[in-house]
Amino acid sequence: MSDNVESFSTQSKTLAKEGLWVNNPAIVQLLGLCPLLAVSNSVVNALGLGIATLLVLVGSNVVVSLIRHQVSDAIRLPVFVMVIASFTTIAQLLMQAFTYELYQILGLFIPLIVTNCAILGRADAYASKQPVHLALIDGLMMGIGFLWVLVLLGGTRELIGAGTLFAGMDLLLGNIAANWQLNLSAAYTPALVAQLPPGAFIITGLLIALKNFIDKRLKPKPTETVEKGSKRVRVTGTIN
Amino acid sequence: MLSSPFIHTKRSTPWVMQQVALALMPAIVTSFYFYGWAVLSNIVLMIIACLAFEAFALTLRKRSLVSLGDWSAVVTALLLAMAIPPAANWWLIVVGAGLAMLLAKHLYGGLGLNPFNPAMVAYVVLLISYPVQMSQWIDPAQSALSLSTTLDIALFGSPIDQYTGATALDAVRHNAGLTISQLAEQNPATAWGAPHHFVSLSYLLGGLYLLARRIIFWQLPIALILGVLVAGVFVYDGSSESALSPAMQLAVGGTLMGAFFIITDPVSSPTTTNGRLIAGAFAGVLIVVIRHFGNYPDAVAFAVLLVNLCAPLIDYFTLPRTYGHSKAKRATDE
Amino acid sequence: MIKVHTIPGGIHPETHKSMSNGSAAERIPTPDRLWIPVSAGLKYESEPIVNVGDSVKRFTQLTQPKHAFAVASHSPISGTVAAIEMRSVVAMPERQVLMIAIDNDGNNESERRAPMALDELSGAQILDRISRSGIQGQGGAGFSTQIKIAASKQVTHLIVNGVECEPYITADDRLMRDYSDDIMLGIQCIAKAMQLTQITLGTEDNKPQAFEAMQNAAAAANINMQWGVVPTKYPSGSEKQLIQLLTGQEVANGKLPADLGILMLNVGTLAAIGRAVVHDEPVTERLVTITGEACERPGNYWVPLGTPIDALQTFAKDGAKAQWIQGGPMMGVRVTDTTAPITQVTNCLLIQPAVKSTSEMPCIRCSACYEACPMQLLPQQLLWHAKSNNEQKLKAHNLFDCIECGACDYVCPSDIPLVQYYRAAKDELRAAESDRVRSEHARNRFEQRQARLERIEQEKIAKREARKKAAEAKKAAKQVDSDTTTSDKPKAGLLAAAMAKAETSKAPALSAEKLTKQVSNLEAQLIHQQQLLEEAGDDEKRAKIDARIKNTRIKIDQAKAKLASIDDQEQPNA
Repeated sequence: MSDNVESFSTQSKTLAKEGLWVNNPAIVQLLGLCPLLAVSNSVVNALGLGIATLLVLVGSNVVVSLIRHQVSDAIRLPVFVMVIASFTTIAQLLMQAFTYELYQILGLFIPLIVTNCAILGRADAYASKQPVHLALIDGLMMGIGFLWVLVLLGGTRELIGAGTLFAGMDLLLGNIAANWQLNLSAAYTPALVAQLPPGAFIITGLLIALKNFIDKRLKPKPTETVEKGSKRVRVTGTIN
Repeated sequence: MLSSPFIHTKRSTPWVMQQVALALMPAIVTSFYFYGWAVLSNIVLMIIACLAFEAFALTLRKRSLVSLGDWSAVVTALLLAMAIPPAANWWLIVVGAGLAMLLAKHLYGGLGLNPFNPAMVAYVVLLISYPVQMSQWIDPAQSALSLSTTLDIALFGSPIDQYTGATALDAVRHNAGLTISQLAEQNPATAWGAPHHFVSLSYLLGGLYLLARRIIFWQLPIALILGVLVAGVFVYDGSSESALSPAMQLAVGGTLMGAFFIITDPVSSPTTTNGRLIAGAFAGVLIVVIRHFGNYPDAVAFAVLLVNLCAPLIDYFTLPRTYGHSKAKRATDE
Repeated sequence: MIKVHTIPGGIHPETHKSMSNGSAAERIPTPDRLWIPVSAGLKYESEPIVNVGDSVKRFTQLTQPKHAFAVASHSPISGTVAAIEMRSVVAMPERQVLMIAIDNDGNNESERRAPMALDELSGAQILDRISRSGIQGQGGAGFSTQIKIAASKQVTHLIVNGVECEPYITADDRLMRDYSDDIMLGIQCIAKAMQLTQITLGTEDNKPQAFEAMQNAAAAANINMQWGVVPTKYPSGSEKQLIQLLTGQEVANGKLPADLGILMLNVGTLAAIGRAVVHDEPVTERLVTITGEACERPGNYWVPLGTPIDALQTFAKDGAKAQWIQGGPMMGVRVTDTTAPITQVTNCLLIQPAVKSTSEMPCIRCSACYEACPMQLLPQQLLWHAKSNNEQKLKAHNLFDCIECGACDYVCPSDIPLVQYYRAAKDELRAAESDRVRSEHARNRFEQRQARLERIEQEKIAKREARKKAAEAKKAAKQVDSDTTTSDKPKAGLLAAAMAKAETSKAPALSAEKLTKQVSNLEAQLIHQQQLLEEAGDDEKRAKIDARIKNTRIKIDQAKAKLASIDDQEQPNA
C-alpha cells in the first residue's frame, strides 16, 4: 500500500510530529476525553492510565496491521474491537498483577480503554492501511501523545487541587518512588475545583488554548488578504 | 457625528455601572454596621485585585486601558466582595478576582460578551474549591470586627473561627431534628429581625433605586421573588424536615441581592420582556430547590449560572411580535 | 377628542421647540440665484423643458416628469435660466444631479394663475390640479403626493399628521397656527376629491396653540373633524406609529395604510394642496425651521425652493464651528456641501456646534434599545447579527421592519451607531438578494435553453420516426397527435426566455436609485471604518479594518461604475 518514495526515517518523523503535536489525540482530535478527564487528577493516575493506553494502542495497531489483508471490510470494526479488547484485558491483568492498588484506584477506567475512540480511530484510519512498522510507530507516537497530555493535565490538577506532585508514585513504580512526593508550602490552600470534573474541563481548555497559542507564535505571519472582509459570496464578477 | 441621530442620551455605560455601584451603597453601609471593617477590607482588596486583573487582561489582549474606566470591573468587584464572607483572606480575594476577570470575562471576549455573570462564576468556583473558607461567616450577633482584627485576619491569616457563627441557611440545614419554630428560638439567625435581614432590606432599597432610574427592569426581580415564594410554599411545612418559610427564604442568604443585582446583569440574562419573566421565575424556583435539596449552603449563584446558560434559549423562544406581523417569529424562521 | 391608543417604545428627548416657535414665519430675502434640481426628490427622472437663456416668471414650469413617480418643478422667481449643469445635493455628498440655475431679475413677475373656488371644482379637476403642481410629501420623505393619492382608491379616512415629533422642528407647528386656513382648504380638497367619511387630526400635546388654531379654523370652514392629541413622544409622527396611536390598528407587514382605508398627509402637504387647487399655485417655496444651538436667529422662514444653503450662512453664529443638518436631529442628514439647494423635503436646517463623535463601546445588552423600539424589534440582536453578516438571522429578526427612527441609537449608553449598522446591513441584504435574483434568471435562462435544445432534438427524432412510420403508411392519426403536442412547447420556452430578457433590460431603470442609495450608504460605512481605523489599537486590527476599507472602496467604485453606465444610457443630454 505505502509507496516507498519517502524514506522510513522521514515517515517516522512525520508520524512522531503528528502524534505528539500536530494531530495529538487528546488536545487536537479531542478523542478519549472520558478517561482523559476522569482519571487525570494526579500524576500517578494519569501515568498509569496513559501507559496502559499506550500499550493497548501499540499492540492493537500492530495486530490490526498484520491482519489487514485477511479481514474483510464488512466486519473489520468488530474485529478491531475484539483485538483492542484483548489487549485491554492483557493490560488489566498486568496491572492487577503488578500495581494492584493503582488498579483499584483506576477501576472502571481500565476496561473502558476499549471504548477509547483514539485507539479504534487509529486502528481503522491508519493501522488497517499501513505496513506493520509504520503502524507500530504510529501507535507509539499517538500513545505517547496521549500520555504526555494526560500526565501534564494530571500534574497540573494535582498541583492546584491537592498542593502535591508525584504523590503515591510508589503505587506504580514500587518502592523507589516512595519519597518522590513534592509538597507545596503548607500555607497553600488546595483549590478543590481542580480535582473535580469542572476543573478538568477548564484546565484541558487552557491546555488547548496554550497549544494554539504556541502554534500561532511558531507560524510565520500570513500576508494580508484583501478579501477577508467580504463574507458575501459573489456569483458574478471578481473582486481584485 | 456622521449620520443620524445627531443627539444622544447623556447616559453612558460607565454611568450605568456607577449607578449600580451607588445602589449597592445601602447594603455596604448596613453590612459595615453589622460586620465592621471586615466588609470594607473585602471591598477594597477586591476592587484593587479586579482592576489589576482587568488591566492585565486588557494589556494581554492589546486593548486600550481606557476600558478600565468603564466601571464594569468595579461593579463585579463590589458584587463579589459582598457575596463572599467578610474578612476573607487576601489570597481568596485575589483568586476570586482572577477567576472573575480572566476566566469568566476576558476569556469570552470581555465586557458584553461573557455568557455568565463573572462575579457568580468566581463565587461558585471559590465555593467548590474552598468550602471551609467560603462558609466562615462572621456572626453579626457578636460585635463588629475592628480594623486591626480585620487586617490580622485578611492579610496575615489569623484564624477567624472565634468570630464566626452558623448562618440561617446553615442552621436549617443542620437542624438536628428541630422544627422551624424551635430553631428560631434556639438560633436567632433564623428568627425575624436578624442582622442579615437588614442587609437584605438594603439590597431591596438599592434595587428600588435602580428600578426607579430604569436601569433594571421589573420583570426579572419580581419574577424571581414570586418564584421563590411559590416554590417556597411547597417545601415549607414547619416540621423538622421543612425549609425556612417562603417569606424567610427571601430574607436570608443572597436572595434579594440576586434578585436586584445579579440576575439583572444585562449581559448574561435574557433581554425580551417575556424572557425576563421566565428567567426570573426559573431562577427563583431553582434557588429554593437547590437550597432545599442541594449540598451547598446558598443557591443563588448556582441558580443564576443555570439561568444564564438558558438565556439564549429563552430569548430564542420569546422573540417579541414585531409591529405589523401577525405572530412572533422564532429566531430561525425565514 | 378621540381616545388615543398607546405605542410601544419611543423616547423623550428634549424638544427644544421653544427656540424657534415663538414668532410667526418670516420671509428670507430672495437670493440672486436659485438652483432647482431637475428631478425633484432626486429619485425619479424628470427632464428640463427650458433652455439656458430663457426668461421665466414665477410659477413657470421648468421640468416635465418622465417617470410616473416623478414630479414637475416650477420657478419660484422671475428671471433667466442661467445654466443647466450637474451639482451636488445634500443627501448624497458625492452624487451630482442635474440642476437648473435661475438668476433673479428682481421684477417679481408671476405667470397668470386661474384661481377657482372649491365649489366650482370637480373631484377630477382637483386631482388634476394636484398632479400638475409638483407636490411632494412635506414631512420629510418627499414621496409624490399625487401618486400617494392615486394609490389610495379605497380610502375613507384622512389622517392629518400634525405631530411633528422630531426635536427642534416647529415648521408644522407654526403652519398650523398661522396658516390653518390653507390646511383646511387642503383637507376640503382631498375630502371632496376622494369622498372621505372621516377626518382626524393627530397632533402632540406640546402644541396647544396650534391645536386651538386648527379647531377654530375647522369650525370656521365648517369641517367635521375628529381630534386626536397624542402624548409627546418620539416617533409618534411616523406614519405607522400615528396610525396605531389614533386607530389602534397596525399596518400589516408588506401592506400600506390604504389597505386599512387610511390616507395620511402632513399638514404642510395639505396646505400646499390647498394653495395648489384653489389658488392654482404650484409649490415653489416651503416653511423651513432654521434653528439649533449655533443658530443666530432661530425661527421659521419661508424659503424659495432652490435657495442654496450658502445663502443662509448668515444664520450661523459667528466664530462657531457649526455643523449643518438637513431635517431633524433624529433622522436628518448631514450637509456636506453647502452649495446644495433647499428642496421640498427640507423641513428644517439645524445648525449645531460641531461635536466630536464619541467612540463606540461594547454592547452590554442593557435592552434600552429594545425598550425604545417602536417597532418591537430586538435592536441588540440585530446589531449582533449585522456585525456577523448573518443574513438568515437578520431576516428572522425582521431587519426590514426597522424604520430607522434612531430611537435605539439615541438611548444606547455605549454610543453604538445602531442605525448606521442597520442601513449597511439592509444594503448588504438587498445587494445579495439582487445578486441572487440575477443568478436565478441566468440559471433559468440556461435551463430553458437546455430544455429547448433537448426538445428540438427530440422533435427531430420524433419527426424522423414519424416520417418513417408515414413511409410505412401506418397509424396516421398518432402522428398528427404527436406533432401538435410537441410543436407548441418550444414556443412556450421562447416566450419565457423573451420575458426574462425583457425583465433584465428593464432592470437598470429600477436599480439606478438603489445604486445611488448603495453608494451613499457605502460611503457612510467607509467614513465609519476610517474612524474605526484611527481608533484601532493593534496592528492586527488595523490590517483587518484596512482590508475592509479596501473592500468598501472597491464596492463603491463598482457601484459608481454601474451607476455611470446607467446614467449614460438614460441621460442623453447629460
